[in-house]
Amino acid sequence: MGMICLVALVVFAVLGIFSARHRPLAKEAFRCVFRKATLRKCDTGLDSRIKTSVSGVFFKAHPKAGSFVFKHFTVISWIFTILFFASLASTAIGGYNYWMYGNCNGPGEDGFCIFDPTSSHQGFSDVSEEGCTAPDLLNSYLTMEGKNTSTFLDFSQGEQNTMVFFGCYACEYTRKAYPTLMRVADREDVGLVFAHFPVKNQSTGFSEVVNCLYKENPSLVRSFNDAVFSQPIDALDARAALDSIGAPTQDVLACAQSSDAQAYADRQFSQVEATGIYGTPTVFINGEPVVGPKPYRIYRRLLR
Amino acid sequence: MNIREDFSYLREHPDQTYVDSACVSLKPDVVLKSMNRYYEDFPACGGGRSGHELGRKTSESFEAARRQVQKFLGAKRSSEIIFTRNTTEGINLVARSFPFEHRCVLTSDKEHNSNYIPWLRLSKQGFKHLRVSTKEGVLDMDEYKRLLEEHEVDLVAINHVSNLDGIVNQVKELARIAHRHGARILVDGAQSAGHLPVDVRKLQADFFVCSGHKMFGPSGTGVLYGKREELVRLEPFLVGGDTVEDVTPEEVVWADLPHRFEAGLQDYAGVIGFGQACDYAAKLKLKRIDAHGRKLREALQSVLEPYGRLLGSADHRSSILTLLPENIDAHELSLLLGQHGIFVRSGTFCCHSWFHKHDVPAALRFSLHAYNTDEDIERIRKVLEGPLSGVLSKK
Repeated sequence: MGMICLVALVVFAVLGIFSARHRPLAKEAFRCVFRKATLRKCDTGLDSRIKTSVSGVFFKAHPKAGSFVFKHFTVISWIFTILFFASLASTAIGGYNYWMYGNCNGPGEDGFCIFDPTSSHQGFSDVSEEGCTAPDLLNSYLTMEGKNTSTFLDFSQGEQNTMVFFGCYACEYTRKAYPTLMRVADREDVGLVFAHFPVKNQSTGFSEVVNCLYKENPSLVRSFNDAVFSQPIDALDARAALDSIGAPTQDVLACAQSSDAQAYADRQFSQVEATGIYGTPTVFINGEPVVGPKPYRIYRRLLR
Repeated sequence: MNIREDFSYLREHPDQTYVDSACVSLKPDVVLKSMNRYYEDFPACGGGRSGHELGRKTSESFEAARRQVQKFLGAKRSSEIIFTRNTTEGINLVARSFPFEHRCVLTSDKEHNSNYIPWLRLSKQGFKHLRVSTKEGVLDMDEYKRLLEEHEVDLVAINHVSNLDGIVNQVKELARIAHRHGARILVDGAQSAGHLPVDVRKLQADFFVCSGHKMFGPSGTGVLYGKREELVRLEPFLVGGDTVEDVTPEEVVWADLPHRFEAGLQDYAGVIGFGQACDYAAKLKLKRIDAHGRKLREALQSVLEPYGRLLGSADHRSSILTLLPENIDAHELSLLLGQHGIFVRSGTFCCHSWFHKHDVPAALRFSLHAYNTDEDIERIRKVLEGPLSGVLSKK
């Protein structure tokens, strides 16, 4: 029955942080656990009080229920204690995963997370969604190792860290991740590499535009991205975005219409696909993949 | 005897059964009112410290209470009544101050810690602490006589009624034998005062101690009675204000009895309440209280007997009944009873030495008083045979 004191210790210790009334109970529970651990009888009476209190609740409902709980309290307390610590461990693991990966269930996993009930850090646009003409995924395993990145838009200049960012202008999750990723790029010693990966119909053709803009004036790509990401998803307008940043709109659009630009975009799409991407946004920080919009700390953790 | 209406706690909780009077008894309204009257009407310093009317009234009420206690205990003089905080303090006062000649004390093996530890402590200082064994709670008189014959005993310190099992000692006989061998006798009357007639002169007690809180009085009150000729031999234990007539750089002139033993500001409200409690108990008639307690105890005995062993011989019990329950921890049973409105005490009742000696786990003690009724016994029976029947096993 001393097992219940172990649970009581955890509960009262936590409550005791906020409430002075529970601190003596935490002390009692600690003494009880200590004595049990040293193979002695608990001498605080806390175990008996818990047993009778819990049984008392059932006695009020029905004497037989109370008697059952009272008589089998040792077994019940063992079961409860095991469940308590199992759930505590599960919560701790979930908390660790959430802190490390922005997801309770581990890196690259989805599923409900109590620390992120709206799944704000897990969503991604599936590359196989409507309108997408992507071929079958080469590999479900995400990696940059040994991959051809010749078509990616490289803005790095010898920084210690590299962040490769694949996103879709019409993807709500990419839009969610974008400000955080740019903050990382601005604040940390990170070289950015970008490739637009269209998964939505609304962003069709935008790869060609941004690639052409990069060819024309790489320094305007960031502003272009800012402008497009601030447009409504269903009203993406490359021309308006180019105009708003003072880019040579006509030249860029003419370039985007060319067969060369389209071939380049197709090659770029294949190269991105070859990394095993399955959703946007996908970010590789120093080769480590992160899918979905994550808190700043997740990306920060992967930097050298 | 139905005096429940005299107690505000029982009026407000008619469905509860309080059977822990051996620890603390309930307080009748008359006691509470007298204490409040002090605080409301004349809350001042007594003992002659303050000369104004409030102080005078306090002193008068305090000394009136002393006379009430004197009358209640049958003492010859009010100066033989010394107010203490409780029985424990009274015993310790004697233990510290008594002029031991042979450094030898005799008790039973079944004393409350308060009448055991002071002598145990003295035994560490070279005193002899003799213990008379008990059989089924009853003192072995042959062994008692033998120990007094074989040893030069200064003081016999013994309970009048045991808080462990309610067994009543024949104190008058014990005192007679003790005196025959030149020993004095200190009677622990914590469980007898207020429960059965006590006349310290008839008992031939040299010292008698009791607590107010076990006999309708407030907590923090008690009394040490001592024959005048014995008290004057005691060196004051707690000293300070009010204990002296005069102090010079070389010597102290102690105040007369009882004040030399009542140092510092006294618990005026408590003592006034204690005096009222004595009057209240006397009004109920101690013989009636005793008879009522024994009658209820017999009824309770038949209820409890199937559930374990009752401590002590059935022929010598007062209104205390102690049960060693079968197959259930006494503490847990007391908590379960508490959830059903029945308040008992569980544990070793400050008689650790007895429990160790007999290798007995904790027990459950039911202690009755004048305000308990047949309904209380019936309630206990219903709970044991009803909701708790699933966790109890009968013999």
